[in-house]
Amino acid sequence: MNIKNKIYALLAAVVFLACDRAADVDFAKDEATGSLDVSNFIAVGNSLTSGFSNGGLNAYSQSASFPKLIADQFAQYGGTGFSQQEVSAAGSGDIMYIEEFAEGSPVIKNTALNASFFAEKVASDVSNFGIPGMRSIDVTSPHSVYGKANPYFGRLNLDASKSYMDWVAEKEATVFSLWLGSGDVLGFAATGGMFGEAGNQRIPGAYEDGLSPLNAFALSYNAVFDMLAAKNNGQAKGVVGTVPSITSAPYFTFVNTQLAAMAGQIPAFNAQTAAFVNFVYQLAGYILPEGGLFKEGVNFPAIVKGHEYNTIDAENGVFDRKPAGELSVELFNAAEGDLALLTFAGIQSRILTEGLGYIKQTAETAELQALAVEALPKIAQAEALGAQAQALKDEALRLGEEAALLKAEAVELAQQAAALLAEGKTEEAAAKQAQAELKGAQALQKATSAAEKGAQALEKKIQLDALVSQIAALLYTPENIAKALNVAHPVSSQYVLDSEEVALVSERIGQMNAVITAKVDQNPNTVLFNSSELLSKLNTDGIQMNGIGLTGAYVSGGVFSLDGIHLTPRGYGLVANKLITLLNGKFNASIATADLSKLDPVLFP
Amino acid sequence: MKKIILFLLMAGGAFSHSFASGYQVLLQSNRQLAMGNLGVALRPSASSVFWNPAALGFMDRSAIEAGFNLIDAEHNYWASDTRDVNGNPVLDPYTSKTSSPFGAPVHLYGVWAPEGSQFRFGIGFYTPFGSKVEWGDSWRHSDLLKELTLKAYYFQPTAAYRINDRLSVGAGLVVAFGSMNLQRTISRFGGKPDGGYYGYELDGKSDLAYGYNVGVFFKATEKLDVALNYRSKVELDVKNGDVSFDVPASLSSLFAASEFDGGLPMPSSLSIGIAFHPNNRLTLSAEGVVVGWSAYEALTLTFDKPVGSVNDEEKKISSSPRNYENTVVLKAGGEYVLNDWLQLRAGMYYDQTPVQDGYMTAETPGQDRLNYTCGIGFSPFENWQVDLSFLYVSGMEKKQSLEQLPKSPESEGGQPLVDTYPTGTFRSTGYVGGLTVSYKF
Repeated sequence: MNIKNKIYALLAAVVFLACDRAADVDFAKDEATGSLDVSNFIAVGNSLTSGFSNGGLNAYSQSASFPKLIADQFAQYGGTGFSQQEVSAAGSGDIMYIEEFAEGSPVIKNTALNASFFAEKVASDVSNFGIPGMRSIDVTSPHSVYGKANPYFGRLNLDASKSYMDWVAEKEATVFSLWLGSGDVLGFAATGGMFGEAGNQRIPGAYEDGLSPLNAFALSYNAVFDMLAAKNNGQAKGVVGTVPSITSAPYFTFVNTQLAAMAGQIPAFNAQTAAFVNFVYQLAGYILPEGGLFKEGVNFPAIVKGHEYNTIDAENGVFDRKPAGELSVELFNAAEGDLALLTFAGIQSRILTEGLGYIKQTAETAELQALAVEALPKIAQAEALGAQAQALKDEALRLGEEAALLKAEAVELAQQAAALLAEGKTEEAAAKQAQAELKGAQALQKATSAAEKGAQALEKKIQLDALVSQIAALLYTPENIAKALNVAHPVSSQYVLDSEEVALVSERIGQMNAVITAKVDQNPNTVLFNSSELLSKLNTDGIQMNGIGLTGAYVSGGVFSLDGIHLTPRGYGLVANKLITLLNGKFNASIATADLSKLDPVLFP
Repeated sequence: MKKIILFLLMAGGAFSHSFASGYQVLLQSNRQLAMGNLGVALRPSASSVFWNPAALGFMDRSAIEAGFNLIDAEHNYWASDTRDVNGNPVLDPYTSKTSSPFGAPVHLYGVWAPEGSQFRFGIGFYTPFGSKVEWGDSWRHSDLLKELTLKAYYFQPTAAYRINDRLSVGAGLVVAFGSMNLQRTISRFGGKPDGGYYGYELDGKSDLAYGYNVGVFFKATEKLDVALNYRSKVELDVKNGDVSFDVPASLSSLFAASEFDGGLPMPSSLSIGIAFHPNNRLTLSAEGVVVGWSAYEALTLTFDKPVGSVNDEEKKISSSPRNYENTVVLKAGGEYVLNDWLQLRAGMYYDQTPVQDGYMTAETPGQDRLNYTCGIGFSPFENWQVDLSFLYVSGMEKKQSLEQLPKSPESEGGQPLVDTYPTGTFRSTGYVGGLTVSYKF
């Protein structure tokens, strides 16, 4: 080999080496997917599946829906053809964002509602079947009906007769996600259970903002599950989510922490001020519990219970949300598990500025205070009179009863005397007769005392009645009632999910999850995603992924969007990664998860 | 809500800083480069100012030398150690690589050989350390490093003394200064409204620093030269460097720092070389170098204001362990004089990484490297010499797994420090071409 050839050989070696600069990525795609066929993925569910975030749906939030993030990962292993409902940059509008921080607190604003979004018709051939607001019990309702109730479904270009079920049935799939059911309790929970279990009755029997009946849920849910499991000739693999314990989401938990932090700023009641506030609430017509609502110490806010809605005209869409009928008030009690909803955050500042939850400090309050100064001694006097009258009445009744008893004994003795006389035992009869007469005299004496007491009681009662009408005349004037209504400021129950309602929601979620779990247990092609477990981990230890720390906290946690229920892109990434991990474990696959660090948390201005 | 913000910053772990590893740049003259990047025991040329000042003692004529190199370096990354939510390994096809901007370091030497004197005087300007890495902000680990530019310039007046016909000594005073620019993203705040990511940039110039370069050159036999060279460590300290944070405006009060102090050691190196001249056409040489990388224990930055906090004084200081270890570089190469105007050269060297397992960072990911060199030299005119060289750097693949990473103290959870050190496989390659022109007079 001459020198020239040597140079060529060297150059050739260099060129050969030069071809290979990258790190070897050495594995086969089928090794990564195990027994999973990721070629055709669809997602079935509600807002959480659609990519709903910050209170709305737009191109930004949808681009990080968890199905999209899963599909992006699947695409690296042969997944194709994933598509989503057409959504513009503005999207639904009404999307929450942080405008600024004022004294360290975020000022949250909403974008304008985009009516044209709901007016336009978009193609229905998609892979992401997430419909915001959809409940399990809605899946069989035809487009002509449910499309009107839910504009996210309504905007799809779909035959009038086709239901959500029919729509999904048309699409083939090799792998699916199913996360349905939170909508069946969310309406009730998010409105503080103000309408009761049966919902708002805007459409009678529709359970809007109520709790879906369990049997109806199970029927619909099982139908959807079976329809999905039958895809790909019964070989479709799926990951199936349970209903999360939604009351652990910031929408339900954040304001409680804010209220706790606020407690020191609220003046504590002493016996006198508590009595005054009770006085005003009563004057305003609220029904207070026995012994008054407000007691010594800090106690707020008061929550109005027992809303009724009297103007319902579903046909014309008229729906009057004004309360009617008698209203009782309760105190908010976080320690017992009452939850102030995120909606309350918007009016929370009024606690301090307007006395929301206890009393408003105005000129009228001062006038009412003057009134109370005048009325309260009279009321105390009336109460004393009433007590005296009652005592006298009780005494009269007791004496009367004793008199009756003595009288009965006297009659008995007299009868015994008569019997003895008939037997000819005159002496014994005379003795009995004497006893009878003595008892009779005693009875008469008691009866006389009773009558005296009764008369005294009546006298007191007359005095009391006079005093009560005097008080009533003093207090219950239209002016005074108007003043009381103006200053007594209870919080409407729509802002609070009280502990009983929380228990109701939890119980229903448990029942629904039993239905879901049973289906997954019966089908070896599916794997269960325990969403509550994930939420609980976020709320306790937090989760570390891709160098990013995640918690369930509002704004700062990275997972929940500003609406406190739906997730940020990073939160949806966490869900996507969890689902991929579950599929990996179940189907012996080894598919990579999404990089959370490149997905957005709540954005700061 | 203040508390919320503060928590947010702490949630992702320590706010850490790091830069270059293995930031040596051995491109100080293209004749030596072509021969396996060795030169301690080679017969002198002007670039001996750098390689071994002692060799200058045997220089018979004055000379000047100037040259440059063009570097096309690339770092490749494969996410070979991705874990799923449960911590189980998954097969991740994600790869990335640095964009490869051309770097062009230069070198300049001059030697004065006064006739009849045993003294020789020289001067040199060269760049023995530096780094340029651009991962970009879409890289998965851009929070660890988006971009790094590190430069060190050495200026070295030198003197050599020929003790006798076989032994010479030499010494140079190194006057050094440097600059650094480090950019990282902060992805925990999410994307910016107009695209891209939030982040921060450190930019600073060092104070002048001093060191020395001393050597001994010994002609053992007619055919064998033995030489020793020691270059001292130089600490380059940046004072009042600029730091600029690009964070959401609402958080700017937490990132009010505008200046930083920091330092980086340029390690010492001790070289022993031999050169063998079997005939007057062939030169063969071998060299062993110990580089004192253990000087680089941690990267410590001190800011003028707390970072990620309004008033937590502890957050003014950020220290990230590097724990470099001393390394050995082994070199071999040769030159063949084809005719009176053309020389052919080739060589190779093995360059150990100073980075311990688990401490690999994204700056210059540490791998052991095999380096192949070749080149030619020719004399187009009397007294003129042109040297061309080509270097191929082939880093061996190095994987860093989650289990290898240093962990936070038990009191802070004992978790692997994924926010300081990346996991995955790195491989670095580089092509370097170079040209040096020298003139003797």
